Amino acid sequence: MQENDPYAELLRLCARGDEKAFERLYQLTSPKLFSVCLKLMKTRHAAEDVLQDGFIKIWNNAASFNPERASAMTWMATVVRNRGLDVLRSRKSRPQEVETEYEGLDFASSDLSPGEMAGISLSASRVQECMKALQEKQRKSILMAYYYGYTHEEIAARLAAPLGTVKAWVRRGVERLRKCLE
Amino acid sequence: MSGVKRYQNPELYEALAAEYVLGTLTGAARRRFERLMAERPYIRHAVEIWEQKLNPMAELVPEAEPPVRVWNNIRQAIAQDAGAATGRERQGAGWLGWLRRPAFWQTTTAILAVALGLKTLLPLVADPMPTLAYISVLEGEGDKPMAVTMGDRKRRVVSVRLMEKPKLAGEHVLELWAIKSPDSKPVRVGIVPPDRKTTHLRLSEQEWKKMKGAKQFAITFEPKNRAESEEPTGPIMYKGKCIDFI
Repeated sequence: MQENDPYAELLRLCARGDEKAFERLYQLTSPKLFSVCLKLMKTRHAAEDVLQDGFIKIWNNAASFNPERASAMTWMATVVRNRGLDVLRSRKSRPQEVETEYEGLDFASSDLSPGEMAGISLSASRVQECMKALQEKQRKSILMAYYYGYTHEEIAARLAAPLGTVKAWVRRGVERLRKCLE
Repeated sequence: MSGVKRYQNPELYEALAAEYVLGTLTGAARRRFERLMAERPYIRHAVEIWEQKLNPMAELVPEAEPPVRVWNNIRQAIAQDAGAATGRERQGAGWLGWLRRPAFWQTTTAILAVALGLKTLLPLVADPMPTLAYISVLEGEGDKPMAVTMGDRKRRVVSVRLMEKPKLAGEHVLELWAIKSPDSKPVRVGIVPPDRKTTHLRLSEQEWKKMKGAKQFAITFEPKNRAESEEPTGPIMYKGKCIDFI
Protein backbone atom coordinates (compact mmCIF):
# COMPACT_ATOMS: atom_id res chain seq x y z
CA MET A 1 0.00 0.00 0.00
CA GLN A 2 3.01 2.22 -0.56
CA GLU A 3 2.54 5.29 -2.64
CA ASN A 4 5.85 4.73 -4.35
CA ASP A 5 6.28 1.02 -4.44
CA PRO A 6 9.55 0.44 -6.27
CA TYR A 7 8.85 -3.19 -7.11
CA ALA A 8 5.14 -3.13 -7.97
CA GLU A 9 5.77 -2.12 -11.58
CA LEU A 10 8.36 -4.88 -12.00
CA LEU A 11 5.87 -7.42 -10.65
CA ARG A 12 3.23 -6.15 -13.05
CA LEU A 13 5.65 -6.71 -15.92
CA CYS A 14 6.42 -10.20 -14.60
CA ALA A 15 2.71 -11.00 -14.79
CA ARG A 16 2.94 -10.22 -18.49
CA GLY A 17 5.88 -12.56 -18.95
CA ASP A 18 8.71 -9.98 -18.99
CA GLU A 19 11.78 -11.99 -17.99
CA LYS A 20 14.09 -8.95 -17.94
CA ALA A 21 11.83 -7.33 -15.35
CA PHE A 22 11.91 -10.55 -13.33
CA GLU A 23 15.72 -10.62 -13.40
CA ARG A 24 15.83 -7.01 -12.22
CA LEU A 25 13.34 -7.78 -9.47
CA TYR A 26 15.47 -10.71 -8.36
CA GLN A 27 18.64 -8.61 -8.31
CA LEU A 28 16.97 -5.94 -6.20
CA THR A 29 15.08 -8.06 -3.70
CA SER A 30 16.90 -11.40 -3.39
CA PRO A 31 19.54 -10.14 -0.86
CA LYS A 32 16.80 -9.28 1.68
CA LEU A 33 14.77 -12.39 0.92
CA PHE A 34 17.82 -14.67 1.06
CA SER A 35 18.65 -13.22 4.45
CA VAL A 36 15.09 -14.03 5.58
CA CYS A 37 15.56 -17.61 4.30
CA LEU A 38 18.94 -18.05 6.01
CA LYS A 39 17.58 -17.07 9.41
CA LEU A 40 14.47 -19.17 9.00
CA MET A 41 16.01 -22.31 7.54
CA LYS A 42 19.38 -22.39 9.39
CA THR A 43 21.33 -24.07 6.58
CA ARG A 44 22.49 -22.45 3.35
CA HIS A 45 21.31 -25.40 1.30
CA ALA A 46 17.75 -25.24 2.62
CA ALA A 47 17.75 -21.43 2.36
CA GLU A 48 18.81 -21.58 -1.30
CA ASP A 49 16.08 -24.12 -2.07
CA VAL A 50 13.42 -21.99 -0.42
CA LEU A 51 14.58 -18.81 -2.17
CA GLN A 52 14.56 -20.65 -5.49
CA ASP A 53 11.08 -22.17 -5.02
CA GLY A 54 9.80 -18.85 -3.73
CA PHE A 55 10.98 -16.89 -6.76
CA ILE A 56 9.56 -19.46 -9.18
CA LYS A 57 6.25 -19.04 -7.37
CA ILE A 58 6.58 -15.24 -7.54
CA TRP A 59 7.04 -15.51 -11.32
CA ASN A 60 4.17 -17.93 -11.79
CA ASN A 61 1.77 -16.04 -9.54
CA ALA A 62 2.77 -12.45 -10.28
CA ALA A 63 -0.70 -11.88 -11.74
CA SER A 64 -2.29 -12.47 -8.35
CA PHE A 65 -0.32 -9.62 -6.70
CA ASN A 66 -2.71 -6.84 -5.73
CA PRO A 67 -0.94 -3.51 -5.04
CA GLU A 68 -3.95 -2.23 -3.13
CA ARG A 69 -3.57 -4.85 -0.45
CA ALA A 70 0.16 -4.97 0.24
CA SER A 71 3.48 -3.66 -1.04
CA ALA A 72 5.29 -5.81 -3.58
CA MET A 73 8.06 -6.55 -1.07
CA THR A 74 5.53 -7.69 1.55
CA TRP A 75 3.83 -9.92 -1.00
CA MET A 76 7.13 -11.46 -2.09
CA ALA A 77 8.23 -11.94 1.53
CA THR A 78 4.91 -13.69 2.17
CA VAL A 79 5.43 -16.07 -0.75
CA VAL A 80 9.02 -16.88 0.25
CA ARG A 81 8.39 -17.13 3.99
CA ASN A 82 5.31 -19.34 3.50
CA ARG A 83 7.42 -21.70 1.44
CA GLY A 84 10.04 -21.76 4.20
CA LEU A 85 7.45 -22.42 6.90
CA ASP A 86 5.90 -25.22 4.84
CA VAL A 87 9.29 -26.92 4.65
CA LEU A 88 10.08 -26.31 8.33
CA ARG A 89 6.73 -27.47 9.61
CA SER A 90 6.63 -30.60 7.46
CA ARG A 91 9.96 -31.78 8.90
CA LYS A 92 9.80 -34.36 11.65
CA SER A 93 12.71 -32.69 13.44
CA ARG A 94 15.11 -29.82 13.00
CA PRO A 95 18.28 -30.72 11.12
CA GLN A 96 21.13 -31.40 13.51
CA GLU A 97 23.60 -29.38 11.51
CA VAL A 98 22.95 -25.71 11.91
CA GLU A 99 25.10 -23.43 9.81
CA THR A 100 23.46 -20.11 10.58
CA GLU A 101 23.81 -19.31 14.24
CA TYR A 102 21.25 -17.37 16.22
CA GLU A 103 22.30 -13.79 15.61
CA GLY A 104 20.08 -12.05 18.10
CA LEU A 105 17.32 -9.62 17.30
CA ASP A 106 19.12 -6.28 17.31
CA PHE A 107 18.54 -5.77 13.60
CA ALA A 108 14.79 -5.73 14.22
CA SER A 109 14.79 -3.61 17.36
CA SER A 110 17.56 -1.04 16.99
CA ASP A 111 16.87 2.50 15.90
CA LEU A 112 17.47 2.92 12.22
CA SER A 113 19.78 5.55 10.78
CA PRO A 114 18.16 8.08 8.45
CA GLY A 115 19.74 6.23 5.52
CA GLU A 116 18.25 2.94 6.63
CA MET A 117 14.89 4.58 7.30
CA ALA A 118 14.79 5.74 3.70
CA GLY A 119 15.19 2.17 2.51
CA ILE A 120 12.23 0.67 4.35
CA SER A 121 8.53 1.06 3.86
CA LEU A 122 6.09 2.85 6.12
CA SER A 123 4.46 -0.47 6.98
CA ALA A 124 7.83 -1.83 8.13
CA SER A 125 8.60 1.13 10.36
CA ARG A 126 5.06 1.00 11.75
CA VAL A 127 5.33 -2.65 12.76
CA GLN A 128 8.77 -1.98 14.19
CA GLU A 129 7.39 0.83 16.37
CA CYS A 130 4.58 -1.42 17.59
CA MET A 131 7.10 -4.17 18.41
CA LYS A 132 9.04 -1.71 20.55
CA ALA A 133 5.89 -0.99 22.54
CA LEU A 134 5.61 -4.65 23.63
CA GLN A 135 7.02 -6.01 26.85
CA GLU A 136 10.53 -7.31 26.30
CA LYS A 137 9.68 -11.01 26.65
CA GLN A 138 6.65 -10.68 24.39
CA ARG A 139 8.73 -8.91 21.76
CA LYS A 140 11.59 -11.40 21.94
CA SER A 141 9.26 -14.39 21.66
CA ILE A 142 7.45 -12.97 18.64
CA LEU A 143 10.63 -11.91 16.85
CA MET A 144 12.27 -15.31 17.49
CA ALA A 145 9.24 -17.02 16.00
CA TYR A 146 9.05 -14.64 13.05
CA TYR A 147 12.70 -14.47 12.03
CA TYR A 148 14.10 -17.79 13.25
CA GLY A 149 11.01 -19.93 12.80
CA TYR A 150 11.21 -21.09 16.42
CA THR A 151 8.30 -23.04 17.87
CA HIS A 152 6.93 -22.30 21.35
CA GLU A 153 9.12 -25.13 22.67
CA GLU A 154 12.28 -23.74 21.06
CA ILE A 155 11.58 -20.25 22.40
CA ALA A 156 11.00 -21.70 25.87
CA ALA A 157 14.35 -23.50 25.71
CA ARG A 158 16.22 -20.42 24.51
CA LEU A 159 14.66 -18.05 27.03
CA ALA A 160 14.73 -20.67 29.82
CA ALA A 161 11.05 -20.11 30.54
CA PRO A 162 8.14 -22.53 31.05
CA LEU A 163 6.25 -23.46 27.88
CA GLY A 164 2.92 -22.11 29.16
CA THR A 165 4.53 -18.76 29.94
CA VAL A 166 6.01 -18.49 26.45
CA LYS A 167 2.63 -19.31 24.89
CA ALA A 168 1.06 -16.53 26.96
CA TRP A 169 3.82 -14.06 25.94
CA VAL A 170 3.17 -14.79 22.27
CA ARG A 171 -0.59 -14.67 22.63
CA ARG A 172 -0.63 -11.39 24.57
CA GLY A 173 2.07 -9.88 22.38
CA VAL A 174 0.04 -10.67 19.26
CA GLU A 175 -3.06 -9.15 20.83
CA ARG A 176 -1.22 -5.92 21.67
CA LEU A 177 0.30 -5.82 18.22
CA ARG A 178 -3.12 -6.16 16.65
CA LYS A 179 -4.41 -3.16 18.60
CA CYS A 180 -1.31 -1.12 17.83
CA LEU A 181 -1.48 -1.86 14.10
CA GLU A 182 -5.21 -1.24 13.74
CA MET B 1 -18.04 -23.74 22.09
CA SER B 2 -16.83 -26.84 20.30
CA GLY B 3 -16.11 -28.34 16.91
CA VAL B 4 -16.77 -26.37 13.79
CA LYS B 5 -18.54 -23.50 15.56
CA ARG B 6 -15.35 -22.74 17.46
CA TYR B 7 -13.86 -21.37 14.26
CA GLN B 8 -16.68 -18.93 13.72
CA ASN B 9 -15.51 -16.94 16.71
CA PRO B 10 -13.52 -14.02 15.24
CA GLU B 11 -11.34 -13.59 18.32
CA LEU B 12 -10.28 -17.20 18.11
CA TYR B 13 -9.65 -17.47 14.39
CA GLU B 14 -7.88 -14.11 14.25
CA ALA B 15 -5.54 -15.19 17.04
CA LEU B 16 -4.93 -18.50 15.25
CA ALA B 17 -4.34 -16.63 11.99
CA ALA B 18 -1.65 -14.52 13.69
CA GLU B 19 0.09 -17.58 15.10
CA TYR B 20 -0.21 -19.32 11.74
CA VAL B 21 1.61 -16.43 10.04
CA LEU B 22 4.18 -16.22 12.84
CA GLY B 23 4.78 -19.96 12.49
CA THR B 24 4.01 -20.87 16.11
CA LEU B 25 0.94 -22.85 15.10
CA THR B 26 2.48 -26.29 14.54
CA GLY B 27 1.71 -29.96 13.99
CA ALA B 28 -1.87 -31.17 13.68
CA ALA B 29 -3.24 -27.74 14.69
CA ARG B 30 -1.41 -26.13 11.76
CA ARG B 31 -2.70 -28.73 9.30
CA ARG B 32 -6.25 -28.39 10.61
CA PHE B 33 -6.04 -24.61 10.26
CA GLU B 34 -4.78 -24.98 6.67
CA ARG B 35 -7.79 -27.12 5.84
CA LEU B 36 -10.11 -24.51 7.34
CA MET B 37 -8.33 -21.80 5.41
CA ALA B 38 -8.97 -23.66 2.17
CA GLU B 39 -12.66 -24.10 3.00
CA ARG B 40 -13.50 -20.71 4.49
CA PRO B 41 -12.68 -17.45 2.76
CA TYR B 42 -13.06 -15.41 5.98
CA ILE B 43 -10.29 -17.42 7.64
CA ARG B 44 -8.09 -17.07 4.56
CA HIS B 45 -8.81 -13.34 4.71
CA ALA B 46 -7.77 -13.13 8.38
CA VAL B 47 -4.49 -14.81 7.45
CA GLU B 48 -3.90 -12.36 4.62
CA ILE B 49 -4.47 -9.42 6.97
CA TRP B 50 -1.82 -10.77 9.34
CA GLU B 51 0.56 -11.42 6.45
CA GLN B 52 0.18 -7.80 5.43
CA LYS B 53 0.78 -6.65 9.00
CA LEU B 54 3.77 -8.83 9.89
CA ASN B 55 5.62 -9.48 6.66
CA PRO B 56 6.92 -5.91 6.21
CA MET B 57 9.29 -7.03 9.02
CA ALA B 58 11.21 -8.93 6.34
CA GLU B 59 12.58 -5.55 5.23
CA LEU B 60 14.45 -5.11 8.51
CA VAL B 61 16.96 -7.93 8.03
CA PRO B 62 20.51 -7.13 6.89
CA GLU B 63 21.07 -8.16 3.28
CA ALA B 64 22.82 -11.40 2.28
CA GLU B 65 23.77 -12.00 -1.33
CA PRO B 66 22.60 -15.42 -2.58
CA PRO B 67 25.03 -17.49 -4.70
CA VAL B 68 24.74 -17.13 -8.48
CA ARG B 69 23.58 -20.75 -8.85
CA VAL B 70 20.20 -19.89 -7.30
CA TRP B 71 19.39 -17.45 -10.09
CA ASN B 72 20.70 -19.89 -12.69
CA ASN B 73 18.37 -22.59 -11.36
CA ILE B 74 15.41 -20.21 -11.32
CA ARG B 75 16.09 -19.08 -14.87
CA GLN B 76 16.39 -22.67 -16.04
CA ALA B 77 13.16 -23.71 -14.32
CA ILE B 78 11.29 -20.83 -15.90
CA ALA B 79 12.70 -21.50 -19.34
CA GLN B 80 11.65 -25.13 -19.01
CA ASP B 81 8.19 -24.15 -17.87
CA ALA B 82 7.75 -21.81 -20.76
CA GLY B 83 9.23 -24.32 -23.15
CA ALA B 84 11.30 -21.44 -24.46
CA ALA B 85 14.88 -22.35 -25.19
CA THR B 86 15.79 -18.73 -25.70
CA GLY B 87 14.08 -17.71 -22.50
CA ARG B 88 12.62 -14.58 -24.07
CA GLU B 89 9.90 -16.12 -26.15
CA ARG B 90 7.65 -17.06 -23.27
CA GLN B 91 4.51 -16.20 -25.12
CA GLY B 92 5.32 -17.43 -28.56
CA ALA B 93 6.83 -20.74 -27.57
CA GLY B 94 4.61 -23.76 -27.57
CA TRP B 95 4.46 -26.34 -24.87
CA LEU B 96 2.96 -29.29 -26.60
CA GLY B 97 6.15 -30.54 -28.18
CA TRP B 98 5.76 -33.88 -26.53
CA LEU B 99 2.67 -34.39 -28.63
CA ARG B 100 5.05 -34.77 -31.53
CA ARG B 101 6.25 -38.06 -30.20
CA PRO B 102 4.64 -40.52 -32.56
CA ALA B 103 3.19 -43.04 -30.10
CA PHE B 104 1.82 -40.40 -27.80
CA TRP B 105 0.51 -38.37 -30.66
CA GLN B 106 -1.35 -41.30 -32.16
CA THR B 107 -3.01 -42.37 -28.96
CA THR B 108 -3.67 -39.24 -26.98
CA THR B 109 -4.62 -36.89 -29.73
CA ALA B 110 -6.86 -39.54 -31.20
CA ILE B 111 -8.62 -39.80 -27.84
CA LEU B 112 -8.74 -36.04 -27.65
CA ALA B 113 -10.07 -35.58 -31.13
CA VAL B 114 -12.78 -38.14 -30.65
CA ALA B 115 -13.70 -37.49 -27.06
CA LEU B 116 -13.54 -33.75 -27.14
CA GLY B 117 -14.27 -32.93 -30.72
CA LEU B 118 -11.00 -31.11 -31.13
CA LYS B 119 -10.51 -30.39 -34.77
CA THR B 120 -7.86 -27.73 -34.61
CA LEU B 121 -4.32 -28.90 -34.23
CA LEU B 122 -2.28 -27.01 -31.73
CA PRO B 123 1.02 -25.31 -32.45
CA LEU B 124 3.74 -27.84 -31.86
CA VAL B 125 7.28 -27.12 -30.73
CA ALA B 126 9.94 -28.92 -28.76
CA ASP B 127 9.54 -29.21 -25.02
CA PRO B 128 10.74 -31.66 -22.36
CA MET B 129 8.37 -34.53 -21.72
CA PRO B 130 6.01 -33.83 -18.84
CA THR B 131 4.30 -36.52 -16.77
CA LEU B 132 0.83 -36.01 -18.03
CA ALA B 133 -1.93 -36.29 -15.44
CA TYR B 134 -4.79 -34.27 -16.88
CA ILE B 135 -5.70 -32.93 -20.26
CA SER B 136 -8.78 -30.96 -21.16
CA VAL B 137 -9.99 -28.82 -24.03
CA LEU B 138 -12.21 -26.01 -22.78
CA GLU B 139 -14.90 -24.84 -25.11
CA GLY B 140 -16.68 -21.52 -25.20
CA GLU B 141 -19.80 -20.42 -26.97
CA GLY B 142 -20.75 -22.60 -29.93
CA ASP B 143 -18.46 -25.41 -28.73
CA LYS B 144 -15.47 -23.48 -29.99
CA PRO B 145 -12.18 -24.63 -28.38
CA MET B 146 -10.98 -21.63 -26.38
CA ALA B 147 -8.32 -23.07 -24.08
CA VAL B 148 -6.36 -26.24 -23.45
CA THR B 149 -5.40 -27.28 -19.95
CA MET B 150 -2.82 -29.86 -19.03
CA GLY B 151 -1.58 -31.07 -15.66
CA ASP B 152 2.01 -32.23 -15.28
CA ARG B 153 2.15 -34.46 -12.23
CA LYS B 154 5.93 -34.52 -11.93
CA ARG B 155 6.26 -30.78 -11.59
CA ARG B 156 2.75 -30.17 -10.23
CA VAL B 157 2.19 -27.59 -12.92
CA VAL B 158 -1.12 -26.92 -14.60
CA SER B 159 -0.58 -25.20 -17.93
CA VAL B 160 -3.29 -23.26 -19.67
CA ARG B 161 -3.01 -22.33 -23.32
CA LEU B 162 -5.51 -19.78 -24.57
CA MET B 163 -6.47 -20.37 -28.18
CA GLU B 164 -7.47 -16.76 -28.64
CA LYS B 165 -7.47 -13.66 -26.53
CA PRO B 166 -10.67 -13.56 -24.50
CA LYS B 167 -12.98 -10.59 -24.87
CA LEU B 168 -13.24 -9.14 -21.39
CA ALA B 169 -15.16 -6.12 -20.24
CA GLY B 170 -13.04 -3.85 -18.02
CA GLU B 171 -10.50 -5.16 -15.52
CA HIS B 172 -11.08 -8.88 -15.44
CA VAL B 173 -8.96 -11.97 -15.22
CA LEU B 174 -9.68 -15.59 -15.96
CA GLU B 175 -9.80 -18.07 -13.14
CA LEU B 176 -9.40 -21.80 -13.63
CA TRP B 177 -11.44 -24.32 -11.63
CA ALA B 178 -11.43 -28.10 -11.40
CA ILE B 179 -14.84 -29.73 -11.08
CA LYS B 180 -15.14 -33.22 -9.62
CA SER B 181 -18.89 -33.74 -9.92
CA PRO B 182 -21.93 -31.60 -10.74
CA ASP B 183 -22.78 -31.36 -7.03
CA SER B 184 -19.33 -30.66 -5.64
CA LYS B 185 -17.85 -27.23 -5.09
CA PRO B 186 -15.35 -26.23 -7.78
CA VAL B 187 -11.72 -26.42 -6.68
CA ARG B 188 -9.79 -23.24 -7.40
CA VAL B 189 -6.68 -23.89 -9.49
CA GLY B 190 -5.45 -20.35 -10.15
CA ILE B 191 -5.55 -17.11 -12.07
CA VAL B 192 -4.95 -17.07 -15.81
CA PRO B 193 -3.91 -13.63 -17.07
CA PRO B 194 -5.88 -12.92 -20.26
CA ASP B 195 -2.86 -11.32 -22.00
CA ARG B 196 -0.73 -14.42 -21.78
CA LYS B 197 -0.99 -17.09 -24.37
CA THR B 198 0.31 -19.71 -21.98
CA THR B 199 0.18 -19.64 -18.19
CA HIS B 200 1.82 -22.14 -15.89
CA LEU B 201 0.31 -22.53 -12.46
CA ARG B 202 2.62 -24.27 -10.05
CA LEU B 203 0.63 -25.98 -7.31
CA SER B 204 1.63 -27.06 -3.83
CA GLU B 205 1.28 -30.73 -2.99
CA GLN B 206 -1.88 -29.93 -1.07
CA GLU B 207 -3.36 -27.95 -3.96
CA TRP B 208 -2.53 -30.77 -6.36
CA LYS B 209 -4.25 -33.31 -4.10
CA LYS B 210 -7.36 -31.15 -3.88
CA MET B 211 -7.63 -31.22 -7.65
CA LYS B 212 -7.37 -35.02 -7.82
CA GLY B 213 -10.31 -36.70 -9.49
CA ALA B 214 -11.25 -33.67 -11.59
CA LYS B 215 -13.78 -34.56 -14.27
CA GLN B 216 -14.02 -31.12 -15.84
CA PHE B 217 -12.07 -27.90 -15.98
CA ALA B 218 -13.83 -24.57 -16.23
CA ILE B 219 -12.80 -20.95 -16.61
CA THR B 220 -14.76 -18.05 -15.14
CA PHE B 221 -14.23 -14.33 -15.66
CA GLU B 222 -13.56 -12.61 -12.34
CA PRO B 223 -12.92 -8.99 -11.34
CA LYS B 224 -9.16 -8.38 -11.34
CA ASN B 225 -8.78 -7.06 -7.82
CA ARG B 226 -11.29 -9.16 -5.94
CA ALA B 227 -10.12 -10.83 -2.74
CA GLU B 228 -8.80 -14.31 -3.40
CA SER B 229 -11.74 -16.60 -2.93
CA GLU B 230 -12.41 -20.29 -2.99
CA GLU B 231 -15.62 -19.78 -4.91
CA PRO B 232 -16.25 -18.45 -8.39
CA THR B 233 -18.40 -15.34 -8.67
CA GLY B 234 -18.51 -14.97 -12.44
CA PRO B 235 -20.32 -17.28 -14.86
CA ILE B 236 -18.53 -20.21 -16.48
CA MET B 237 -17.23 -18.98 -19.81
CA TYR B 238 -15.26 -22.00 -21.00
CA LYS B 239 -15.47 -25.58 -19.88
CA GLY B 240 -14.44 -29.01 -20.97
CA LYS B 241 -14.27 -32.63 -19.95
CA CYS B 242 -11.04 -33.78 -18.48
CA ILE B 243 -9.13 -36.91 -19.32
CA ASP B 244 -7.45 -38.16 -16.20
CA PHE B 245 -4.27 -40.20 -16.58
CA ILE B 246 -3.71 -40.78 -12.87
